[in-house]
Amino acid sequence: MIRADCDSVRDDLDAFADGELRGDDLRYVALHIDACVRCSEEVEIRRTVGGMIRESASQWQQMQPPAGLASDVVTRVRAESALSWRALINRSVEDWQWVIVGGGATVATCLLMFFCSAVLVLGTSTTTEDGLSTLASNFKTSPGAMYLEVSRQGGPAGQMMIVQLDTSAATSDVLPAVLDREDDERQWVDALARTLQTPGSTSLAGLTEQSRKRAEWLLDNITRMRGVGPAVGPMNTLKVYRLHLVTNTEVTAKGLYP
Amino acid sequence: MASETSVKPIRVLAWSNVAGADWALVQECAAGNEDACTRLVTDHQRMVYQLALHLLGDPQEALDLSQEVFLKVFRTLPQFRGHSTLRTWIYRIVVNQASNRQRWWRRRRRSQQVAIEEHTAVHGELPDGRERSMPDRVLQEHETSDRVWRAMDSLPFEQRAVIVLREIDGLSYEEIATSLEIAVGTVKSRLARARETLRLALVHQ
Repeated sequence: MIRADCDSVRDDLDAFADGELRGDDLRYVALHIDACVRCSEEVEIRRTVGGMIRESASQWQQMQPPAGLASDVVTRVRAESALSWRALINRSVEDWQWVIVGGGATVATCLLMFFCSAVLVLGTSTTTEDGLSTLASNFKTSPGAMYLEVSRQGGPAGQMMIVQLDTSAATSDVLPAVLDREDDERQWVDALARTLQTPGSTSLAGLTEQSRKRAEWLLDNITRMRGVGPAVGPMNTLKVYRLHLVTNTEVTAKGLYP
Repeated sequence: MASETSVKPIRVLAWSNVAGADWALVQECAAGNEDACTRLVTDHQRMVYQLALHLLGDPQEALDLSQEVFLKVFRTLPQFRGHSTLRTWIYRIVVNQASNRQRWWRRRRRSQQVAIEEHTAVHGELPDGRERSMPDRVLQEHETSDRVWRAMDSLPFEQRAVIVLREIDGLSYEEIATSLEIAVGTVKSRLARARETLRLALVHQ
């Protein structure tokens, strides 16, 4: 058997005396102590010192904390907590809880409204250059065709075309038709004149109801035609003035004319 | 066989039960339940008082310290996370509070000490401790106790704390390390130094 050197176990003598060694360390030191009187005495001295300390401490074992310690401590804790900021806040909250709740709700509502407004004003609204293309795409499922009154950029405003947007509807055979806006206006003026010159009438009040409605309709159209400007901003080479959606569904409404 | 007799039985704790009970008690105290606070103090007051007594060596000081400790416990209870047992956590507070207090306590005692010449003029010569040796001439219990506590008093506080927790409270190295927030290796070295100092002090008294 190889005897361990005293130096190699010296650091473990306290742990050995205290029962803190385990496994191989314990076996190693125990074997050495069995064979080494000096180290065995060292361990014994440690145990004796420990025993003396415990024996001396026993004189105080009978000394008990006073019976009122717990109540004293709890009283002081209660007094401290009553003076603490947290307790002060708690009491304030208890006294003013409904005011705080109402105020909080009002503030929350204002904040929500402010947030929604900010989103609407500054949020996701983006201007797209391809508004008409998007519109055309959206009308893929339309039951009708879509036509635009347009003129060329930089061209005379009187020269207009009717073009059909590329939708799912069948392409018209007659398009694009080139219009003369001034001719168109002239036709309306002539039609109005003819209506007003209906035999027997001298004023709008003297017209028959049907003629009066027609005259008003023609006037509205002439006014609109003169005042019309591009409805959509520059789109490539075209200015868009009007948009017509021709559906395959018949719509009836009272008072529509013609 | 020395090796067999030196092995202490391992204390077996039902950890989950202890931890669960501790945790429930802490939660109740933190919620302001005064009955729970009273129970916490009652359950631990003897341990706290005895440890304070052994660390400071004065009953009145120990009582004051015990109150301080429990107040500190309740103030810091929300910080208890259950990483150690409640007992170990309270041990740590006791030792920390005692460490702070003993500095003041020792300064005060030192100021009250009288010169050796003044003492011998009143009480006569002190007995020559070197004539005695350890352990064959262990004196009577009372005298031995005085010698031991004088020797303990001469230890630096951190060594005294370790030796008290080990020899009197019976904490394992691991528990001492947790209580003092030091490494197990430091516990070993402090214990070794403390015992050596005590042995020399007791032999030469």
